[in-house]
Amino acid sequence: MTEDTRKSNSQRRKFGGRRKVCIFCVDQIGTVDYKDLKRLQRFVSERGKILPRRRSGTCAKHQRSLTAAIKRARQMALLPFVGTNSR
Amino acid sequence: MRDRKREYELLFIVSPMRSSEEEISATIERVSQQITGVGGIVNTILQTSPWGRRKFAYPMREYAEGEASRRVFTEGYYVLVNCTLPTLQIRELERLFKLNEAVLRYLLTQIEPRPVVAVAEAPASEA
Repeated sequence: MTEDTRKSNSQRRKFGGRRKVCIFCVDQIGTVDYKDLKRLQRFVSERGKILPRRRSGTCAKHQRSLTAAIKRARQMALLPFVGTNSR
Repeated sequence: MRDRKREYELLFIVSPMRSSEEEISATIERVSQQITGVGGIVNTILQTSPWGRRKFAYPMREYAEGEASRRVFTEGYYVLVNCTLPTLQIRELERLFKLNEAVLRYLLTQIEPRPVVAVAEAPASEA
């Protein structure tokens, strides 16, 4: 891209770390599978909430597919609706 | 309407009330008969490793046979079935699953054809 966008990007990243790359894009996964628990578990908080994109780093397309997959997994009791650490 | 066939994936949970080995295989048999009954084809049935007997992520309350209130279940027997189904028969099949007392819950999802993989492989084979 142009220098302007690169500069603004680096300014925005002053406090945070580097920009995360969508894991699903890297692994070339089209739609997220609700049965892939190991992957899904990384995208829910300890309370069982779905992590926002700013924390998970997934792209918009995969985040949509991911939320659907997590919700399906919840229906089949593969993932919790509320986490174990709730007080 | 044209009666198309599509690939589906069915994950269902056999109720712990019907958890003896005979009853589980009877339930699987019944489900696969229902699939073929509506004109579908059962491709694979999986009940190993991640599936089979498995604890739930949360206790679920479902109606059990002959009981007025829902009973709490903490584990179940998961079975994953890959099948090809006529699209117009999905409703009927789901109705049958709901009527089946041994099926605690089910999830029927369409397997999407993977054009991404096909596109990625095609140029490689040409070159």
